[in-house]
Amino acid sequence: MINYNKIFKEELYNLNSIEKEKFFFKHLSILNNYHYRNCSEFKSLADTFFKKKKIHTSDLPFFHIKMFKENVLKSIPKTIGTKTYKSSGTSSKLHSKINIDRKTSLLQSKCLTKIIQNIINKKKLKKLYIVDNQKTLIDNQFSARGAAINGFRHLANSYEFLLDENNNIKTKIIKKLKFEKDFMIFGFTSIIWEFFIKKLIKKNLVISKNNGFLFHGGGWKKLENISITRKKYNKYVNKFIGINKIYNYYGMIEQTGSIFIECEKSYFHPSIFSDINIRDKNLNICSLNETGIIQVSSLLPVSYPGHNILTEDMGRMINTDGCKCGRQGKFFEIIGRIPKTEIRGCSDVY
Amino acid sequence: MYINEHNLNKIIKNINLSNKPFNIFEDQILKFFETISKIILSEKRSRKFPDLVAFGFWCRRKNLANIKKNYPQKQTGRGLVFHICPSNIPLNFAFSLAFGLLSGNCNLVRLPSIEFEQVKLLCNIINKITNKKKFKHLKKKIFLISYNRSEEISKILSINSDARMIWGGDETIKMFKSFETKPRCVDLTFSNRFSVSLINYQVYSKLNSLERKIVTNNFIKDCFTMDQQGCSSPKAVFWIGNNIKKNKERFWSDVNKNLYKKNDFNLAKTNKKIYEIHKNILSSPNNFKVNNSNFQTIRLNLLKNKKDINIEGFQSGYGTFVEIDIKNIKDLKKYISEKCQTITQFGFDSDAIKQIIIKEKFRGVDRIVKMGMAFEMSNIWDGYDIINSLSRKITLI
Repeated sequence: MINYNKIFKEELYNLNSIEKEKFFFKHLSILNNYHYRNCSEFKSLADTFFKKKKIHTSDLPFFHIKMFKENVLKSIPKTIGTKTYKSSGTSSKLHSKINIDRKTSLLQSKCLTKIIQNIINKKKLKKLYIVDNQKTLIDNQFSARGAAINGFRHLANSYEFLLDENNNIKTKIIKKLKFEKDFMIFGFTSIIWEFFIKKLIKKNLVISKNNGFLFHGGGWKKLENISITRKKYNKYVNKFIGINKIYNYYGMIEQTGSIFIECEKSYFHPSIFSDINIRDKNLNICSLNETGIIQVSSLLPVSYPGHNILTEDMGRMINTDGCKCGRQGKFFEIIGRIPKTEIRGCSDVY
Repeated sequence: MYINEHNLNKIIKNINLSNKPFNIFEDQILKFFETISKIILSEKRSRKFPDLVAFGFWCRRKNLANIKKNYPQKQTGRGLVFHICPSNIPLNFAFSLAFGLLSGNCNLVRLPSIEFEQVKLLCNIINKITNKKKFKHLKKKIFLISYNRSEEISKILSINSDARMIWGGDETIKMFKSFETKPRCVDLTFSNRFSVSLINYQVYSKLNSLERKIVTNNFIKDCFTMDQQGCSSPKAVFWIGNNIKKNKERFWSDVNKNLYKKNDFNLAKTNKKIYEIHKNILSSPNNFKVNNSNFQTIRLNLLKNKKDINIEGFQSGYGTFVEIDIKNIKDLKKYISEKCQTITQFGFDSDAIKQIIIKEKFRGVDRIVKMGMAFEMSNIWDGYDIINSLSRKITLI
């Protein structure tokens, strides 16, 4: 198996693309072989659909993301107890069913911690504010939102929810927040917009300029519909929450923990725990700047074969090295969901 | 015409007033379609849409006169036919409407919910013609409608109908069958089907390169016009006879070369294709070998020791084929179910295939067509004689 202890001691973004490929291919291959031996579904997929000769990370077999919605895929004996995580699934009726055992859960939480620590440049902050209500955590601790909240709350000495049970702003805390120095705010991109920024504007509340961090993820889909761009979003965060250290991340519930952080130059970066490939319509690797299907890989999933996934998102590889933010290796941009083309056919359509 | 709960009653009243059956293949109707055909085939704008041209070609006078020959007796319509058309096959509504008119009925046609340019073009042509004095009376026989998915409206339209043409798959059929109808209302239901290709290896192997090219183009036309998503698009290829791998590979290589020129792929199709292939592999593990040496046409080859697999459940689309070698046509029965609609064949006599299907008591297969004609519309569809079903014969004893 992968020697995780060793990897956790490594720097997150210090490998150039050639070193990274060597490192990642070696480790993802180990994980690949593990799932091949322990998950019959993964084995039949690998045997039938993928070539035998594997010399690059991009040669390794992957699942289409929807397989996790329609099947329960496990790489551990059926007798071992697991928790099943569900994606928030706002856009589809089906939820992902992710089987997480203690080991994988620990790896994910350790990895998320390491990635966030890298940005805040500290072990822990004094305070974490979660733009959500406590009910979400209790009711849906196995949802994407619950999982993310769970991960983040270990990053501060204490935490508080900013919304009450009816998703209204807890005004008392907001007034206190002005005096806070060592804190971060975390929430889902669309929830921060809908239930925090918009309500602040409505209530005419402005939090004065501060030194906090804001982390948000979960996708722009809802905001795109109302044409809120990243630029506009950040402008409002800055104006009403007083924060300019704003970090968006990209990640799948299937690969919780090994998230891709959007850097100061607004590009996304894989850490040593993850990798990204962009594929064209013939499934070949795209050239730089060419829009294609995003494939994400992670070293963390052990109890289920979610280490290599073809998503339904589109993106562009900007370059394999040389982002001005200083992080080494590949950096990319997310374009959004693959548009549903006119799907032809006779059935199910009246 | 857009229907909502406000104008519904008025429209129903209007339709019921004009709901009068008439003779099948009435001359005025034939002339109406002749005019449509001429306009479609002469207008530059329609050339962009192969399906519109195909309809224009189908409804020309000569073809309709040929169909008419099958119905020498005087028959009359049933009254009001309600056409529920699929939202993703643009011109299905046109054929459905044509059958309704040719069988002597007043027609209520629900247009596809997706806006297609060719649908708009054809509706404009129909409007233009029915505005002419000569065809003005047809305005009372053609009601092209649209409405937002509403069970209430569907229910009210259903109870007023004398016949319903329900396209659009199993779910739609299930829903419409749950609505109350007149006791004598006739339903023609077109459920989810799949189709297969049969290739006679002996005949194929003797073709020269030009003849092979024709076969290739016909195969592509059947499979890729609708991204393999139509009920009549083949999802499996059966090779009959003692096959040699080399020839099979040459066939697929011909197909791939031609497809490459068409360049009809996009990221959405590719993504869905991968999803469906992974789904097939998980639902039927270890039965197939996947040949994906060329991504355009991915082939699922049944392993030799696996027999009797019903291919009904296999997802195919955007160039994914189940490929099976069989010794003779009779063996096809092991792999298909009653859901099999069409056989597109190369190198056989269609009538000979039909005889085998009857003799061997197949439950499926309603059409046997030459390769390249999968989407050829006919007055007999899914085993129904549509004209006879939508009209009445008056018996004299």
